[in-house]
Amino acid sequence: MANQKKYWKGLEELTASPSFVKAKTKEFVEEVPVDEFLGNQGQNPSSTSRRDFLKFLGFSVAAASLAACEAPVVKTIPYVIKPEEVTPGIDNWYASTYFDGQDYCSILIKTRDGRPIKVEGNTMSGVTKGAANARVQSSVLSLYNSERLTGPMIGKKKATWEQVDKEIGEKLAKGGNIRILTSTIISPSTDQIIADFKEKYSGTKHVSWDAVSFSGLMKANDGGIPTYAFNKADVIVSIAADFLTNWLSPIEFSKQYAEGRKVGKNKKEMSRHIQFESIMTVSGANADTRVQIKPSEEGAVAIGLYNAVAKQTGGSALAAPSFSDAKISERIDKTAAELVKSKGRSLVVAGSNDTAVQVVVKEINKLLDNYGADKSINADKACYLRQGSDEDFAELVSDMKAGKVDVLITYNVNPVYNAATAIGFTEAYAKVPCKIALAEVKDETASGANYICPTHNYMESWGDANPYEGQYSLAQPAIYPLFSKKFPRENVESKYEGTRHAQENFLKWSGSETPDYYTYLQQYWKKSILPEQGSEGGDYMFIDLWNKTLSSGVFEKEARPRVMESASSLSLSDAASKISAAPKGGIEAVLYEKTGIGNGNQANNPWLQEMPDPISKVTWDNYVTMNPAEMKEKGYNLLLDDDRNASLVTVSANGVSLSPIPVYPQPGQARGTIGIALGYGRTNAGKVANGIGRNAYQLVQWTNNTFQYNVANVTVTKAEGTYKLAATQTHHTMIGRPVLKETTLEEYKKNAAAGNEEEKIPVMLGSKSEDRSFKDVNLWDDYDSKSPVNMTNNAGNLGLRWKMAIDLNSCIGCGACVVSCSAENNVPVVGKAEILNAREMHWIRIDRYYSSDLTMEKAKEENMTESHRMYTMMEASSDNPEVAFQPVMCQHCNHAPCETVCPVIATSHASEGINQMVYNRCVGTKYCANNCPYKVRRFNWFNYYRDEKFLTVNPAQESNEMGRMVLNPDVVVRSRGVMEKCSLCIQRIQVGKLKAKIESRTIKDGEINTACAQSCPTQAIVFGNGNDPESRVAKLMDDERNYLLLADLDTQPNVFYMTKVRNSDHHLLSE
Amino acid sequence: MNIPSKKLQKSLVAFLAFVLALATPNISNAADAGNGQKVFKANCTSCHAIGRKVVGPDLEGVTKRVPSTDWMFSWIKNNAAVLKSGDKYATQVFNDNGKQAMTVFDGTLSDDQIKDVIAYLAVAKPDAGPTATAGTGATETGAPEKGKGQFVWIIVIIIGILFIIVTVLRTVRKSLQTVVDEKTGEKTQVGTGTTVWQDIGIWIRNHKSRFAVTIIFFIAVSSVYSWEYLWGIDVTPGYHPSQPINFMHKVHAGDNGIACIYCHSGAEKGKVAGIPTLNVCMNCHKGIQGSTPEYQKEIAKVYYAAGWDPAKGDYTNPPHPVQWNRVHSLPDFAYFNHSQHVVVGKVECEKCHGDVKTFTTDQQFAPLTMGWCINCHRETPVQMEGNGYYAKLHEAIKQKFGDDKKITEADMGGLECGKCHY
Repeated sequence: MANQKKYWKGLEELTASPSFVKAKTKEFVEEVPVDEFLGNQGQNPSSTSRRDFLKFLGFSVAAASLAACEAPVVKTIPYVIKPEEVTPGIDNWYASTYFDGQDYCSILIKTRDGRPIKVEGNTMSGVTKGAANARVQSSVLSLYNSERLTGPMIGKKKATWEQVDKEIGEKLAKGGNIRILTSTIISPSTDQIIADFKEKYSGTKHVSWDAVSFSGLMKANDGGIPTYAFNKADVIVSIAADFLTNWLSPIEFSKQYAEGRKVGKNKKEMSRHIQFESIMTVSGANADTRVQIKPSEEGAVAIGLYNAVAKQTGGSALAAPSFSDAKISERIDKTAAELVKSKGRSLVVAGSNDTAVQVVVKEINKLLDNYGADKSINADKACYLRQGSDEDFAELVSDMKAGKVDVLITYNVNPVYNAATAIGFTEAYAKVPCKIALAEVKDETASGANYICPTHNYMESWGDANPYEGQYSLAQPAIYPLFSKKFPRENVESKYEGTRHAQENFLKWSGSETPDYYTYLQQYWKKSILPEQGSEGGDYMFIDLWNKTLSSGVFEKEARPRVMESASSLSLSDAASKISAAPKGGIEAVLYEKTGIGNGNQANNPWLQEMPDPISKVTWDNYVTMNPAEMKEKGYNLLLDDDRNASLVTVSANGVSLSPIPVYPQPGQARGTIGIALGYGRTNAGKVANGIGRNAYQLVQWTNNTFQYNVANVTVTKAEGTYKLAATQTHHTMIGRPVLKETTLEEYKKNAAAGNEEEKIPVMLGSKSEDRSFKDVNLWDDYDSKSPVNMTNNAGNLGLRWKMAIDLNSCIGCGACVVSCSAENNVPVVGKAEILNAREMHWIRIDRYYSSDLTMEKAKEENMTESHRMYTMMEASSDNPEVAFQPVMCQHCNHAPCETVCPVIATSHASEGINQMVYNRCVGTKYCANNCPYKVRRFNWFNYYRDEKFLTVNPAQESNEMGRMVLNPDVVVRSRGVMEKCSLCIQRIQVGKLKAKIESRTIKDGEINTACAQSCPTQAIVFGNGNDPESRVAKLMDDERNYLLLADLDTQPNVFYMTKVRNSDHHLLSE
Repeated sequence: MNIPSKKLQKSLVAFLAFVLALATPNISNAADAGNGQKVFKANCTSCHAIGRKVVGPDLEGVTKRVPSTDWMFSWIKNNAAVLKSGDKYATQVFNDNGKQAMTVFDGTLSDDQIKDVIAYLAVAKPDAGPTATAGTGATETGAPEKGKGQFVWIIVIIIGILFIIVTVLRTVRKSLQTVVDEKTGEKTQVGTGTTVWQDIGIWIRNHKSRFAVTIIFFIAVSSVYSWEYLWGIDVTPGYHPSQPINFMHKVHAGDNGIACIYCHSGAEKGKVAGIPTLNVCMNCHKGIQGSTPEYQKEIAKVYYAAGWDPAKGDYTNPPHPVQWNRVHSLPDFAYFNHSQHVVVGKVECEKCHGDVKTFTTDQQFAPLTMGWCINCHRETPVQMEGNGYYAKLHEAIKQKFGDDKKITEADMGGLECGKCHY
């Protein structure tokens, strides 16, 4: 039975490490740090005696009462001329587009009194359909990055735009070889501007290059990436492609993926997902079957799959590869059988940047008949999300080295940081006489440039995007550029020289008639994108259509058939031979992207740094992931806790070494492999990111004219010392109580309530003990409106009852909700040091559980009841555990244990079902947190917004004029000494209700949504009024899969969960 | 020029009226200049003044300028018709004043009223013009509470005098005692100390119970007072700070009956009622420059802040945002939304803000304490009738509690913490 599985959050729990056992029952791992929060700078913290404490107490009481005697005079300064669209206290929403070369997302930007404060997905988009991920959510904070450039620079000196334009104009006029290096540009107008520029300066060449390259995929598909539809596949096979959080278009794919994975009353089928990979990725963690391979075997798996599929569909086989583990080929055969069974409704993708691997994968999909307009791959609809060419980049670098490049303009790229050491960009860069960087911050590349032309943040910019053929979106500014020389509306000038649109640089330098990008953009859309208007009233029609597009953010038109570029791809047999010749052996490393930091361009964003990695749960660092068993063999510290830190190692390959870097045990990691995350080790990103982790881009290989992120023959040697890693995985644990319920699809089809059996508890009846349902022994009165006995004289329970459903089957663990919640609720960033003390403040955490098949029954059968032996056995099963994600926030119990223990009634229950927390009433006894079985309450140990200790990490610092602008004015910034927790976004509920009241109508389902539910790309979280029988959440309440967390405590939460259903293949294996 | 054309029309009417009045003194005699002044103030002052040009021309001595009183009469009545007729003088006036049409008063003002106005214009004396420059310096409007401070000082002085008297008397008594002692040869009586403190100690020892009662009484009284005092910290009804512009609510909301919502438009839309931005002020004050020197001084401050140049009639000066002193300041942890109360709850502004129509600058009326909020929530019935939001709920409530149950805000969960604190 699935529900008898043993779950564990980390190896510490699995092996019952002493410090874990000590800490698990405690709400607060550390002792109360009175010293720390009483002692300020200048005071020796340890000298705070009881006397001092009393002195402080007395003084603060006196000071407070003195200060309170006189009300301060508060100034209020209204606008001089109020902008028409702004009403103080009311949100404005602008549709825009996010694309940073990595994630594409059509978004809505919420602004308040002129300040963008939140990003949400745009449901009108046909691409991302209202989803957004953690990186997109975080981008609003990057707008307020205090490291942003405020004006152009010549060398290291500040300059004026006139000077810069004049000098650059002269340099460009001299002619010579001009190169423009950018990341993928999906803006058609920008493409046109660069084309205009090229026309003006004939020696110009434009090179696209992506930090994490997709050249291999492009080359294998004749220069253009096809469109993928994961919702149209019944069987999804991914060979090391982390399509849920990083590969190509993760926001879109996770939405599609969830669509195929959801089950319910009317849908008892779900897609099956098989993942071949070395490191544990989010996609791998969500897979029904996960097969461990070495990175060098990705090609072999593809060939193996090809051969097996070909055998059944009548194709010719390629030379059969060999595997490190015989189980792999067994698995491949089974996978192929499943694929063939779902022919035409399957999908095979590979994450490799090796053209040869992608060629084989393409051929597998062809054999499986997966290509077509309504099938999982549409080759006719081009995807423009990655256009970077590794070959062009290599050519550029060799030209630069040879001194052939006179002017290099870089835009939205940072190759000094993220080009592989093997290609030698940094040396080549030094040889270019004139380097112009169009950048937002003075990053590694810009700091070496001769001219820095600062660009607007995307939230201050106009723009357009064309992610897929026929699908367009517009970007519009949600705020006037923060760094502007002039503010015309206010008629004032600033001390800054100001930033400008990157495009305006090109327009200006090429002497365009329309140097204003907005005008250019409009003209371009009029001419090339929006349908042609007749001459009569054409302008009027255009403006109308333009405004409509701007308001919805997106525009779709019929796709032009794809123009195939020269078919340069490899033949299948050549691909096979290239695959077998690829480097392999020794320890193999995978250089991967983390869900939060990604390729590192937003590394200076504290929200992303603080977001625990979905798999490792480590914050603020990168590290080497390694199989725990292997670590044990090598004598690295396996259990990381207070006393034992991570071991440090040196990783080197092909003459490049990273040192020192900590080792982190990763269950599920293939033996003989390591993983290192890209995007860390920044030196010029800003004060948040500088010096965090090591730069793994240095290890990227240059093979077969592409960058390879799998590195063979890596040496790992132990380095001196140890290192503390701030992982949250064992914080706030629910002491191994049964919180996770899961079943298999097979069981689920037989019984919808499978895996969700009611728990019984032994009850003494007279002298007999009997197992009874906990409902029978309920001591408390019911709160729920379904049994309206209580709430005497209170009409409230007739109205609304807020409920939240969390579908464990849909949750992919991506962490978008965590960031979204932080943004909405002003959740403080606490930094690594505090996370080490288990004092992270996130209101919503995503528990990641590993599990294995070993059950109590099995253990008894095999005579392993002695716990030590059982755990030893389970350690072996931790080699490739199953993974489950469970978002946990305040459960809003109707019988809340926290409410009964609060001595000052700072936490109480609302008639609408919400467990309310009143910060200004809280005196910080922390009783509530100690009494909470879900451990969802967070205590403010410090004034995070004022304490200088958090100056670099917390954007909401009082001294940080920029960072504070991101705060949501509807939510209080909590001060030291008070408890806080999820409020079910009560500010949104109140605003939503008020809107309905003003408009004299009832609340529509979905109109009021919490930040986490809104941002969830897979809609695993559904929020609504449970008293409205038509609401989505009310329907889910009737679903057999729903269960309450720790139901036997009878806390009767308003948040409920839905059993996870795995489409596991136990039945297939037994065939 | 973005000045509404109506205003010029008005100005020309008044101008004409003045001319008429001058040319025909007999009309002036028959008409009532006093009534004319009232009509003039009500209808003409937004564009005209005596002694200076506003939107329309300066009307000082206008009755002497115009061709005839009849001309002026017809001009005020319907200037458009006069202009249409091709009248030379009218055309010239029209061109000289920015070609802005004046309001047609035909139908608005009776013939007698027009005659009254002309009569008034014939005798009207110039009012003082607005001061050219103005700062945004605060003007004291709130009367400082001097009384309390003086009272305390008086008590202190009285206590001091009493103390001196007691000391002197005691010294005198002691000297006399010494003299008596010397004379009689007796020793000092038991129970008399050598110092004041000893005396007091002795008195206390002799009157233990009386002393205890006094002390207890003293503690009780001071406790009550300090309790009340502590509750009153930061509770400031009547708070009436000085403001950079001495804005007269009395004139705007009272005399002129401008609805609160016209300026505080946010009250219907969102949480902040809002201090009107200067463009709202300028909607009217482009024309209205003030009838008294005091008003003119304050309105000039508005011009200064808005960057409006009255001479040029345009926003050409740099703006200087007004820094008002905030009167109603709820703490951050309390969420209050105006639209909830004004639109949904249909609460009158005066309920919380007092009779603003009689105020000069704003002052705090309600205590703004939580108890005050809660009380109102306890007493106020929810405005369910006619609101679609409550339709279904209302039915359910009627079923559960009966038809005549008064559903207050508190019944709806209006006392729950999370309604205001998050």
